[in-house]
Amino acid sequence: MAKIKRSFTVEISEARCRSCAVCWEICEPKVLGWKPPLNKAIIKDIEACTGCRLCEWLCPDWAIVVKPAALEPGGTRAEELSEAAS
Amino acid sequence: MSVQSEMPAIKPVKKKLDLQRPLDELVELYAEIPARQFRYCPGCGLGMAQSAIMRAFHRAGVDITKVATAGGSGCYSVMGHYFKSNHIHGSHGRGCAYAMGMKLARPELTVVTLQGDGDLLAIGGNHFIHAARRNIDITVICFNNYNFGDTGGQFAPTTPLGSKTDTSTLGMPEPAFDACKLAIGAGASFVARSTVAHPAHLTKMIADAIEWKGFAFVEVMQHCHVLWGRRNGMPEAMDMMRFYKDNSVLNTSSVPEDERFDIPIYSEDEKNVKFVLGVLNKEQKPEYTEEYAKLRAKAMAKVTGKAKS
Repeated sequence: MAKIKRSFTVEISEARCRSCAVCWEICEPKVLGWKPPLNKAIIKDIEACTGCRLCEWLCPDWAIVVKPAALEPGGTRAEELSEAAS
Repeated sequence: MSVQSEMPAIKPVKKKLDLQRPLDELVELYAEIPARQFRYCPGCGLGMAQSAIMRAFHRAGVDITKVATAGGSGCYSVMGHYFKSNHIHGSHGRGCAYAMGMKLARPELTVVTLQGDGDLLAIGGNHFIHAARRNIDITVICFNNYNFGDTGGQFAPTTPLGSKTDTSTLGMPEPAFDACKLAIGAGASFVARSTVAHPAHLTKMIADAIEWKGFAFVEVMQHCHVLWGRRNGMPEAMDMMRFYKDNSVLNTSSVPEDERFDIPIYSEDEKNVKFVLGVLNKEQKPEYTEEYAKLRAKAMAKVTGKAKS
């Protein structure tokens, strides 16, 4: 049986982020990173996100929202599910 | 007596832990946050604790318009304004006094006080211990960051022995308070401790405290890397998060597997462990507002009885 890979979307509000470094240091699969000169949080590798939501729970400025990616007909998520079913 | 009055009241269905609710939906339901940024320092644990309190409101299933919060002065004091609840921003250390007044006047409200360690234990110490002694149905949340953060990092009653602060540059000479032991000694019926480095556990502890009938006290170990951590070799927020993570254990092995959140279990051999997390005291006691209502009924009966005779 093929592994079901779930995909997630991460939204970062640049106006709220204050570069405290908590999110990208707590992120185990290194989805998040930072961008000089202000060192605000950015998404480096969204494919690696496991959806543990630790960044959302621990962001002191409430700048990060993690959501499961929406099911789109013909999109990557639907393909994954059909692959898993076959 | 009619048939309907004999029917038992329908119990509200206990909500399951809704961990998957995204933050923006919770903010719409419970919080009123400024458009740009919070007042706290970058990386402050108060923002994390605030998030946990909002999730605890959601988990306990309270109506946010029926919640009243109280607080005094400190770094935390803006937190009450960030929720949709009613809030009183009172004088320094008097959060418990305001909360008791609100609870006695309107017993149907859920009353929560948000207080810091210097606020609750130094200046408001008397209000705290007497609220605990009366076992009034309020929830006291204490944010322990080891110092007086709002005024520049002076030592507080909770500053650990030997640590450096603004007013103890050679090391703190006095031993520290254990807030949970003080609460147990004063007669609090629910006492728990958690840290911001364990957000799921912290949310559960606060939700349990809000649901508890009687005086509930939660000590939230919350880092201040800007003032306390910088002077004690932990200048970044993540340094202090790792410090909490490495030095925390659960107090009991009777906690079910899915509620442990990967926290190690406390054993008596571990003498160097600093923070014992979890519910430290839980006992059933008569609640003050109910006892007071009984007293009032007795007094009214006495007065009306005299008037008749």
